[in-house]
Amino acid sequence: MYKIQFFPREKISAIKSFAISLASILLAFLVSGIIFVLTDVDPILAYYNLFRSFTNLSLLSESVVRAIPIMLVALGLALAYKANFISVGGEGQIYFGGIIATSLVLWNIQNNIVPEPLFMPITLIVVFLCSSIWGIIPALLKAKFEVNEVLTTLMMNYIAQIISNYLVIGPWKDPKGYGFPHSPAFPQYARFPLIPNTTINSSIYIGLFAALIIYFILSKTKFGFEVKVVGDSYPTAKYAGISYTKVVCTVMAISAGLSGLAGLSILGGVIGRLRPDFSPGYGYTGIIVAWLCNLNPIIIIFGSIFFGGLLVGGEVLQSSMGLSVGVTDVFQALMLIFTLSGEFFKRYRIVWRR
Amino acid sequence: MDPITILTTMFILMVQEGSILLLATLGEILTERSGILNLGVEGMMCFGALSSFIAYYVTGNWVIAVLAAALAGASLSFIHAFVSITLKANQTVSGLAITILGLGLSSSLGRPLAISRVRIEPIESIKVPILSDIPIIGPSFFNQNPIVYLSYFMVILLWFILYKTSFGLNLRSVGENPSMADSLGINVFLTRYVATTLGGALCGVSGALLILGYYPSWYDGITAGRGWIAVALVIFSSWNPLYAFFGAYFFGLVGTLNATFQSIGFRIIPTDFFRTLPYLLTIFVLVIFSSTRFRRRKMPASLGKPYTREL
Repeated sequence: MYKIQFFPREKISAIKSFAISLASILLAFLVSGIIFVLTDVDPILAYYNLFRSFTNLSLLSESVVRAIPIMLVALGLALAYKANFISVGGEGQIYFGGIIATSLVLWNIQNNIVPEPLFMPITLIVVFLCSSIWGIIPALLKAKFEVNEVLTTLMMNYIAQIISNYLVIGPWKDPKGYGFPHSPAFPQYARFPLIPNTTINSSIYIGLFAALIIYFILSKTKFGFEVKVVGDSYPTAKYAGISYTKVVCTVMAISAGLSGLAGLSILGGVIGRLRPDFSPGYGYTGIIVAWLCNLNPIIIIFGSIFFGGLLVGGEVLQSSMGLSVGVTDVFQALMLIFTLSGEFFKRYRIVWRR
Repeated sequence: MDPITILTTMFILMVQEGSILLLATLGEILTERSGILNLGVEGMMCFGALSSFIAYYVTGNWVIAVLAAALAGASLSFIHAFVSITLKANQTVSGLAITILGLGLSSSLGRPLAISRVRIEPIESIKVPILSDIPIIGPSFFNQNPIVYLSYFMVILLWFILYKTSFGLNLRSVGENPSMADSLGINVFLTRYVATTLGGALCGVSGALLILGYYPSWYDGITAGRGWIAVALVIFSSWNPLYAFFGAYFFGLVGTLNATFQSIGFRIIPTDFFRTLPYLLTIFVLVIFSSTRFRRRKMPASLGKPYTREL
């Protein structure tokens, strides 16, 4: 009989670590391939369609457009996760940001107070600040009453989505919309212009800028250091005199603010009006991207484009092979599970003994 | 409508909604008592619902449908068990992954059902003699389908197992202090595997009740956050099956306010407000019950912490 034993590793070489990550992702492919076969789908054809977004230019730019909200959410979450604050509130914050943005647009259509060139900059700031307040709520509840943040942020997702859908079907419904449930269209000045010669809207600059800011905060500032100390060990942080309340409230203010901007980027960049259920789960994809990219802001830029491509690929699968977009969720979840499992083999080495 | 009729209708809806929450809450209590936090409840519930739908549609036998749901929940939670017990991964992230996996599987495998809009017949209620004649309580609690009765039974059974059997004592000690339990010769890993897998099976069964009892056609997102509310109910009920009974029906009652106010023509407050109530209430209850005074003595001390045997 062979016996398997695990010993903690002192350290791991970069090549080994990379090999384990790669193996995890390949295993996710393999297992979803098995699921494809079991459900009578040709896995090769399915993967070909799923990844067509990376070989076809118009699908690729569509993927980049999808990557913008994912990127904004994932960057914020990465900061929160560094402080060990497991927020899953991105989806609700997207809706909340969308609500604030639409209310500003409708208000300005009616009153015409803010001059057109100033409207977008002001909206960016207001959406960010309002979403921050929404995001600080679960942080305060955690800091003051030790309320589990996963549950509060999730409950707030449902609440924001219900409010947004209520507004769009009720008070904000477009009177000229032929009964369709959507708000009046955003005027041109409230939309992100396209980058010349592309179909990508300029809100991508916000995402890239945010990545640099988060990178800077985490690696170059005293606050970034405090975030990591709080995340690594709560007692150490307390001993070092770091205020837990201050740290989690700040990271959540930034995280929720960015997710709110993600909502604005969807409405002002793509849809051009408020619609029911306007986010197809970007907030949840952001969670996966943040973890898979190891909470690294720069890697998140590329991870978001990859997952944006997966979402587009999922729609190609749906239209060409009649599969549900849920397939991409399965694939995402499997990647997360295998990457998480791979962490074990980075921390422990395996010894076979007789 | 007279108040008795309104109250009776309300209580019937309350028991329907509450029993779904109850089964999932009991499952999560079993899991968390062993020290494992499984946030995959929503995914297991949804996948269980889909599995029971398909099994019932194919066989027409509700017992097989319930077993299929249990198996579906158990398989997902087994993945969580492997990742969090053997591979010692972050249980919060693993649980989230299980939820996304369960919802994704349900949505992709259930798509043909959602498109074709097939319907199944809800399983029939069985009247309990005598008890069902009590006004209000009778028609609501004692004129229900067998899975609801199973949920009452599970409350007692789980309470008995946890507090009156040696397995339950072992389970609780593993959740409180795994290294102590290990030194007393209890198999920590096996106990946690059993608790997590069986807990997942119960979450799957709660999905079966949702489908077989009240939602006879399939659509995406059918569980609507009930699994997450169940996770909150575990804290609310201080990890005790008996308190879970009251907590689940209290939340069930709040979940039915929307339908009740609609049926009596109450239109002063938009009904969407009532739809947010279960979620608002969950946050409110969490704030109260998470405070140190309520929680410190009740929460399994090793909850969410992987156990590593000293070499």
